[in-house]
Amino acid sequence: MPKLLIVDDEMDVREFARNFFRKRGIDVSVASGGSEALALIDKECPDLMLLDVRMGGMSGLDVLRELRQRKSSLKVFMVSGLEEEQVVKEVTSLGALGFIHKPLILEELEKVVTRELGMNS
Amino acid sequence: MGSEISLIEKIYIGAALLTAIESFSLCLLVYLKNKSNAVNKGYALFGFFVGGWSILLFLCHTSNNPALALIYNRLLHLSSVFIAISFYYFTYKLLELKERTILVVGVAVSFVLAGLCLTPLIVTSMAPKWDFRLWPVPGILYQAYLVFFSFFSYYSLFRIYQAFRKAAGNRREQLRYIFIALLIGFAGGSTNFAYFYNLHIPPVGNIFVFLYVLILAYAIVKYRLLDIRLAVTRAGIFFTVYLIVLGLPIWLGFKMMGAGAWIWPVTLMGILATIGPSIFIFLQRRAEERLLAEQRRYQQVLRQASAGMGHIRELDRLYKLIAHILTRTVLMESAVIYAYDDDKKVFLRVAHRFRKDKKKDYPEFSEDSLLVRHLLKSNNRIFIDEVRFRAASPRFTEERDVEVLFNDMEASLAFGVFIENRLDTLVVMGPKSSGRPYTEDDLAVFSILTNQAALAIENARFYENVRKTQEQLFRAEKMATIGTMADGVSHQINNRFHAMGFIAGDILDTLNLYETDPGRFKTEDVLTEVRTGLKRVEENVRQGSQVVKGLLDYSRNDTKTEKEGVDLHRLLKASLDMVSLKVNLKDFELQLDIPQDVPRVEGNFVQLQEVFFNIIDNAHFSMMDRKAKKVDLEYKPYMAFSSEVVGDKLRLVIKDNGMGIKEEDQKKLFTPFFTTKVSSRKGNGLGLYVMRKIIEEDHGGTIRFSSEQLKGVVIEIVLPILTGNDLALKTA
Repeated sequence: MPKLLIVDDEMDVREFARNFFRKRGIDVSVASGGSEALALIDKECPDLMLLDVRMGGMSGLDVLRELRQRKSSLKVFMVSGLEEEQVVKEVTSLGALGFIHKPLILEELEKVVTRELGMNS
Repeated sequence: MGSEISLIEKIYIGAALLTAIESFSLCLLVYLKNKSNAVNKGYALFGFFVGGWSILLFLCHTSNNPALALIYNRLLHLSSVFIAISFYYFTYKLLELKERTILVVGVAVSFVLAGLCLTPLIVTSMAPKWDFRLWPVPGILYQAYLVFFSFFSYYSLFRIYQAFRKAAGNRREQLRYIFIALLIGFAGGSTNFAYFYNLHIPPVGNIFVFLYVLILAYAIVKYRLLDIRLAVTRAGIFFTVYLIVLGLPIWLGFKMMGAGAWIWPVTLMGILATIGPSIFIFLQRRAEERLLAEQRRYQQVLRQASAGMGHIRELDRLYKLIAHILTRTVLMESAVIYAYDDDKKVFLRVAHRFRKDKKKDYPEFSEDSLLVRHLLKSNNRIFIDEVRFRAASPRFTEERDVEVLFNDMEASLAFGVFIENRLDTLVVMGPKSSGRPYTEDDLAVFSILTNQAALAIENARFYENVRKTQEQLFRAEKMATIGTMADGVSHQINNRFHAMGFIAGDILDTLNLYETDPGRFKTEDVLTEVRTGLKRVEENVRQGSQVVKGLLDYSRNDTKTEKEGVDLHRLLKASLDMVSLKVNLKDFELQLDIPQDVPRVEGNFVQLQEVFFNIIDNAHFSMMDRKAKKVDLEYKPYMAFSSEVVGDKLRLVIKDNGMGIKEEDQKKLFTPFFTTKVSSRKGNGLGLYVMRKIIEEDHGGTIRFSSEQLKGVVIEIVLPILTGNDLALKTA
């Protein structure tokens, strides 16, 4: 089963996204913050991560930097509102696949996720 | 009687009159010049009785009627009883003696003796004796009188002598003269007593009694005795002149005619001549007061006006005061003030005073109204009497219209107030209440008043503009702060939409799947998911609306600054909520050491929220700055709030461990537009300026900063605690 990690400090996002993707036969794990996410990555070895940029404590950007240092090959999509150009550049240089802009339509996210996980719905 | 009058009796009589006049004069002088002084009062009393005794002595020995002479003599003995006790009273006050018992007993005995003096027990009758045509025959209680008189006179003299020995300087000189003067007076007077004991020693000493007054007068002038130094010069001259003017003819009369009935009209003339000038001066002063009353009132009004108007910074209050002052100047039926309104381009009524209830309503005058046009034409003053005078001539058509207008308005006078060469304010006055016309003096005063008013209005308007500008500045500062939250707010709102998007999307997805494949889910599970989801949607809406409400509350324009009881916990939470829209509160540790039952402060919630927002925001900036500069490893940013009740004030101490403030910057903290922040997006330098204005000007509190670089900032805010029932309930 493909594994998806959702990192977001919003409980509703975590809960309902997990429910949604589970219905698609995806193994979903969730983290409410940066450090929790890093721990889960080691433990669960997900195939794809949806990472919120702006969180209290360790930010999405910090997590991405850490992964880069660890030379992780995890596929990452950043989730955020409108970001400054500088952030976009850094995120790209750190190897993230792209941005998903808030607020989003779930069907569109589904397309991205199934595509990246190599599933054909 | 009719026997020859001896020389000694003649001199005796003359000296008695002289003593009486002197004594009364000095008594009056001392009393009038310093009534409030107990010593002066004591002396005046003494002088009065000496004068009384002396004049009675004079009357007694000039009388040809033995019965009348007896009455005079008994009365003079009565006076001499009071001479003794009043002399003691004067000494008592002068030396601040503590012998109240002696005084009280003395006064009581004096009244008893005074009563006895009117009976034959002291003086039985009058009979010829040696050089005197009539001399009193002592009664059986004469001794008692003599003992009383001698005791109080000589005891007092003794006390004065004692005090004189101890005293120094000016006081010593004063006491010396008092002692000498009164010793002469009493010793001289005592020579009267020999005759009563059948000793043929004539009462020549009595002739020298008049000297005591002269000696005292000398001491008064030289040693400021009895505190009437200034008075002596004028009154002294007056009495000296009168003494000569009136004394000389009387002395001459005596010389030529001897004592006789002529003395009565002459004495009366003397008294009237003395009183005459005083009456004249009194009447003259009264008349002047009447005549000058008007001028005095004008002066007073002008003084009042210049003192009062300059201080007033609110235009509304100033206009009211001007109207008030005008109506006070002269009692008039009405005074109405119109001020130019820049927006409406008309003169609007801003203040009025009416004596009666008739309120003629003229709310406005346009710039080209008849009143304004005519005012500009007629030297900035329209006076109904002048208008009427001209209106009678067919040449002046406008005057006729003005007359109609004024009659209609029931106005008599209109003035314009010019500011910077522009007609700014109109003053329209009704007729005088007295019905009399306005005089040139009235008009002159109004003219001065309008000039003063112009200055005051200009002054008040300047302050009003400053205040408005300041308000705009503060508003701009607040809006700028709110601008810095835009990012945080949009993030918050966006997150709500984002979450709701997930919730709605997931539920729709489940419903779709349930429709296409009903077997896949249990109906109950679907319903539970829908219900849970909708509850979460509701919650997100609530959270989002809270953010919006908080922002709207914060940006509320609170110019009225109404005070309420502000709960510190609620205030801090609201402030932190706002800060959280701008910065991440998890960046630092927050320590709150504020008791749960901290008394509420008296203040304006939104204003105080702005202050706390600024404090937390600044502290955060400073702590992040320190963190970024990596001054020290293991740096843990924290902010601490604590409170303490000090009397009727609440003292708040807010600490952070940020960068602190450089010493050279500390003095400039409250200067507007001073900032150390590089980017104008991060701060415009108005924050602290606004904070101080809010705390000190609007709340009557204090705000103080102390800081050391790299140690952080300590802010101390003192605010008044809300008083009244509210607090009582809370602390009970």
